[in-house]
Amino acid sequence: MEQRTVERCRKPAILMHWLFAIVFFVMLLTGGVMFFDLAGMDGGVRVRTIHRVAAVFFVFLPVLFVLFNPKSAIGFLKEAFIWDHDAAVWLKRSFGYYFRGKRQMPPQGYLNGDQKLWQLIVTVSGLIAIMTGILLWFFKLKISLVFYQWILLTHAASFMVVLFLFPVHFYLTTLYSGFEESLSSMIDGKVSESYAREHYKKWFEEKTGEEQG
Amino acid sequence: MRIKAAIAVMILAGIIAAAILLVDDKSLNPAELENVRSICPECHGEVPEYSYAIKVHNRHAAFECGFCHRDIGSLKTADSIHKIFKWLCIGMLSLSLMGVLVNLFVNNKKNGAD
Repeated sequence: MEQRTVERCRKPAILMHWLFAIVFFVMLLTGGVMFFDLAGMDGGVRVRTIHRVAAVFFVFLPVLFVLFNPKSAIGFLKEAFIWDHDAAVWLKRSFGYYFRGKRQMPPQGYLNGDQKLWQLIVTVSGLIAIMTGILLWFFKLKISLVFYQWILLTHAASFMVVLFLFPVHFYLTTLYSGFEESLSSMIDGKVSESYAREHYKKWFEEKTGEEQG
Repeated sequence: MRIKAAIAVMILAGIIAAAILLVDDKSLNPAELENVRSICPECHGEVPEYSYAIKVHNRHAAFECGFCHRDIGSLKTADSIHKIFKWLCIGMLSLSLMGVLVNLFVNNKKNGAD
């Protein structure tokens, strides 16, 4: 018998996720090349051009998403910035959960504590990268040199934080056996009921109207 | 839908227009521009992006070397901290990748045992 599923992500959100992932990856890669001075002067200019083209999409994809899906965008921000006690407890216990196996974890809403942290970091560091990036691109010669240097370093710091956490996000959503339906939910938007109940109990109960037992 | 798309296009156009108005890349006269063309390759080889060369020239013409540079190829504040950042970044990324690999190993072992 085919397993019953619940809708977790809608098509615009899935499309947005993958388009943004492509742009994000290009920016991370070109940013890394510049950060580690890997391309020399000639190559550096070309890499910077690619980085800037990607940056335009990095800014306008979220803007378009907000315009066309304001409810989803607000939901995204709420998930990132509003934390309940259970999400915080999940985050606190997650290291032990991933390394030492099944621990008593509190029921989670639409996102668990780790996913909320990733969403928060992507949002905050993305905004910092955009603001500092605009200054570096358009106002390089308008701002003082000392300020310019600190802006450059802040831009680099936002890159470092994201680079540090990106492998964890990639691993947990693709290779980690405990979140086996995570990737598929970002493809067809659905997860099985049993998976939803196990991983996102509070969200599942709210969505289905199921009483807490 | 169309109104939203129009707003998006207007925002885009506004930002680009503001950037074009605010950023002046034409602060050198033709003779100075020619000078930039001839001077840059002495140190840097071919300079592929012309407007970038002008920016670099402007920056270098406006300050004493010692204001920004500790020595050739390094900026005082940015480069000192950037060097620390590079190693910090390598350390953080290694830690992150190591954690992922250890977890993959631990979980595969656990799943194999189950």
